[in-house]
Amino acid sequence: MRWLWDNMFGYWMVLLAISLGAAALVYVLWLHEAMHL
Amino acid sequence: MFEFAISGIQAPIFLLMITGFTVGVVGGFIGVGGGYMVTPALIVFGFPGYIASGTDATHIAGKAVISSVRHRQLGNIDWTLALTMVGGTMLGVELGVKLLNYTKSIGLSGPTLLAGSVLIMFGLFLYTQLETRRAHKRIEEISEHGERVGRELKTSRVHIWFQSIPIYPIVKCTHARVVISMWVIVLVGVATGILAGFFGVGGGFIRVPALVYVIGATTHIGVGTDLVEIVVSGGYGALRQSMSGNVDMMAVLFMILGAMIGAQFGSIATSFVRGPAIRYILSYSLILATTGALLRLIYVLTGQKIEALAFFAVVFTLGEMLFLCLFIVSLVLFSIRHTHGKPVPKWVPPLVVAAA
Amino acid sequence: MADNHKTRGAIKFVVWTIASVAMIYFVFHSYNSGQMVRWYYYQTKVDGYAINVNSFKDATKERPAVLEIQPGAQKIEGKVAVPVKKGDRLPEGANGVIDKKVLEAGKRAKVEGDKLIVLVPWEIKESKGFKYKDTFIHKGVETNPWSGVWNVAVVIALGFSLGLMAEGLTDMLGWKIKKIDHYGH
Repeated sequence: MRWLWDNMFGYWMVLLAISLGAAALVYVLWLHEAMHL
Repeated sequence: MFEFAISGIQAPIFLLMITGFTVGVVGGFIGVGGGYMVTPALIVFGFPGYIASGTDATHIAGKAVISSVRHRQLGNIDWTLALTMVGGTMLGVELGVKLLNYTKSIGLSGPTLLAGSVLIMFGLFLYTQLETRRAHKRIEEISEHGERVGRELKTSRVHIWFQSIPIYPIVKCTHARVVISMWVIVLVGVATGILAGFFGVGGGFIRVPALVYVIGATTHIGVGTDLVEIVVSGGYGALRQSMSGNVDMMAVLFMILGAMIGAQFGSIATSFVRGPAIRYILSYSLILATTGALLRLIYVLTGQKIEALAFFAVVFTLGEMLFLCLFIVSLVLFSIRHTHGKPVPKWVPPLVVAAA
Repeated sequence: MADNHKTRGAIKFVVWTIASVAMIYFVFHSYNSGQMVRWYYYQTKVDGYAINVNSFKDATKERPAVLEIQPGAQKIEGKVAVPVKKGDRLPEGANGVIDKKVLEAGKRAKVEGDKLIVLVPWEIKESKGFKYKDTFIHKGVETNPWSGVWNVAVVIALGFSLGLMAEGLTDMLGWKIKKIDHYGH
C-alpha cells in the first residue's frame, strides 16, 4: 500500500483505475442506454 | 436532458457541464484546448460528428479566453511571444486544413491519419516524459545539497541551438527572457498550426512543448502564452466551423458554464507547482490520448468486430479527462499539505512550491 | 488598502456578473424564440424536399412514414414535405432536405404522387472508430454565415466577461493571486 503512495507510478495507477472505473460505470449505467445503439 | 434543436438530439446537460469543467481544469493547467478529449466525448453523448468537432472548437475559444484572463493575472503570458506567433499559427492552420483536404482527395484513409496522430503524440510523450523525469531528479539532487530551487528547471538544451539562429529580425521577449529570431517563432507557429489544422485539434499539446523546448520559455509562460494563441487559432477555427453550420451554440454554452469554474481551478493551480509538474501532466495527457487513439485504430483495422475494443476506447476517452483532473487536484492538495508541514508522497516536494 | 482592493474587486465582480448573466440570457432567449434555429437551418444547398427529421424518425421499411407534399408551404408541422430548389430559404420547422438524388435512388425515401414515403430514416455509420446515427438532419442545408460570426463573437465576449467576473470574485474574497516569480529562488 505504501508503494502506491510513495511511488509516482503507483499513485498514477491508482488514479487511473479510479478514473477508468468511474468512466466505465457512467457509460454502462447511463450513456449506453441513452444512446440506443 | 435538454432538447438540442440544432443537433437534433437530446443529451444530458449535467454531462456537458462536467465535461466542460474537467477539460477546463486540464486546459487551464497544461495550456491545451482539450479538443482531442472533448470531440470523442461529444460523439459518445450522441452529437453528430460534424457538430461535435465544431462545437468543441467554439467552446475551446471561449474557455481559452477565461483561462487567459487568469493567466494574465498570474504573469504567465509573454505578449511579445504570443503576438509574434499569431500570424504563423493562423497560416499554419489554413495550410493544415488544405493538406487534410488534399490527403483526403488522394484517398489517404482515416486509419492512416489516425496512425499518424498516434505516432506524433507518442513521440512527444516520450521526449516530454524523459526530460521531465531528469528535471525531477535534478531538483531532488539540488534540494539534497541544501540549495534552493526556483520555479523552473529544464534539462533540455535544444532551445539554446534555436536561440542561436541569427536570422533578422531578432525579437526580445522580455517576460520570457528569450532573445530569438522572429522566424523561429513564426515557424513554430506555422508547424504547430499545420499539425493542429491537419488533425483538427487546438494544437496546445504540441505548442506548449515547442514553446518550452524549442523557444526556451518557462513551462508556466508556455502554458499562459499558448492559451492566448488558442484564443486566436481556436477562434479562427471556430469561425470557419460555425459558418459551415458545425456548431450547436446551446451545447457550447453548457460546456462553458462548466469550464468557467474548471478553468479557474486549473489556471490558479499552476501557482502551486513547479514547471516539471505541469510537464508531467502534459505527458500523461499525451500517452492517454495516444492509447485511446490506438484502441480506436486497432478496432477499425480489425474490421470493427471486437466490441470490447470500442468499449475500452470510449471508457478511455471519458476516463482520461477525469484522471488528469484528479491528478491536478492531488498536486494542489499535496502542495498545501507540504506548505503546512504535513506528510506527502516522496515524489511530491520537488514538484511543488511552498505557498508564500 | 486591502479594503480598497476588496471593494474594487466587489464592483468588478458585480459588473461582470451582470454582463455575463445578460449574455447568457441573450443566448437562451435567442434559442427559445426560435431565431437561433431559423438562422441555423437557413437555406437549401440542393434541390429536393424540405422536411422535419423528427416527424418520421420511427419509420421502418415495413411501416414507412408518409409525408404530405405541400408546395409553397411556409411552415412544416408534422409529416409534411415542401419541394425546394437550391438557394431557397427553408420553411419554418424544417431541419433537413432530402436530396432529389436520394429520392431517385429510392432506397431510403421515394416520391409517389403527392406523397413522400420515408423507408430508412437513419442508418448507423462509423467514423474514426465511433458509431453514430446518420439521419437526414442538416443534410442539404446551409447555415446563415452571420450566425457563425455571432456564435464566435458571443463566445469570446462571454469568456472575457466570465474571466473578469472570476477575477473580481477572488479580489473581493481577498485571495492573493500574485504574479508568479518565474526566475527567483
